[in-house]
Amino acid sequence: MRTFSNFVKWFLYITTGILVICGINYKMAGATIVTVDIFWMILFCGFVTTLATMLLLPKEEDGRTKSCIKFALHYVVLCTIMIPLGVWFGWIELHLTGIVTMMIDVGGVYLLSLGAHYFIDCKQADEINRMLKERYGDSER
Amino acid sequence: MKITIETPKPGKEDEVIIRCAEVDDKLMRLIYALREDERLTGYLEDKIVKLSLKDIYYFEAVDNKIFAYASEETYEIRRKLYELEQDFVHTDFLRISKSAIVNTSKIAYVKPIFNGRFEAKLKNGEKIIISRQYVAELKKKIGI
Repeated sequence: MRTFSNFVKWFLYITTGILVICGINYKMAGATIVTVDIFWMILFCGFVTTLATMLLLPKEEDGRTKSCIKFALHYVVLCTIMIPLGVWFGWIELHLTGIVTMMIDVGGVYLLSLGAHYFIDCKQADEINRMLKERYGDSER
Repeated sequence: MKITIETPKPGKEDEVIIRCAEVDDKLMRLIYALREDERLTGYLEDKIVKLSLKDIYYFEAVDNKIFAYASEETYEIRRKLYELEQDFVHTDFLRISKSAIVNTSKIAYVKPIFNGRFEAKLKNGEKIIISRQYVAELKKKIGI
């Protein structure tokens, strides 16, 4: 159950991130009309990258070094998944500029997703701190 | 609420029985207060010390041994972590990871850290990790 709720949570973060990055890219490219297929493409990319995230994102028990290696590996895997998908969906062309663009986009989605995750954790911590203060005060008991 | 005080028979231990439809926050505080002065046997080198629960910041399992961390000293506790968890369920103590139980009244603040975990800074300045899976329990314990 925890794995499923984690999956849903990451799927929402990542898909929203992809949606935002796609929106920025289309705006920068001057596109005014997009087809309905774009939503299915985004959802599919969100689903596939969430699967990779669930498998590769560092676990709580991983140390700092292992976590850093896993983060790097995770990013490489995401790029490896997204570059062929980007070519298939017509988002990029298979040349250096296209590949670099996709790598930057993956980085953008990565930062947005982790940022959202951290923001929610901060909110949660604030709530806990407020209750701790209310319950026990600042002083030693 | 009806309060009845009975004197136990000679030689019998003092006992508090609470009859209620629901254990609410008010009642939990009363239970915490009753158990606050409960004592635990700690071992420090060759000394045996009676520790008051309210002086303990956290318990930690290290190499199959359990240690109680007070403000200055660390005592070995010859009991299992799960036993302490069960015994102190109605106190301010709460399991926060596979290897630690913290006194929530000694937490100064918590903050999210690397890897999805939280870190609790204790009132004595020490830091202790809260596993993500125990955050919901912590919230419940402090009334969120």
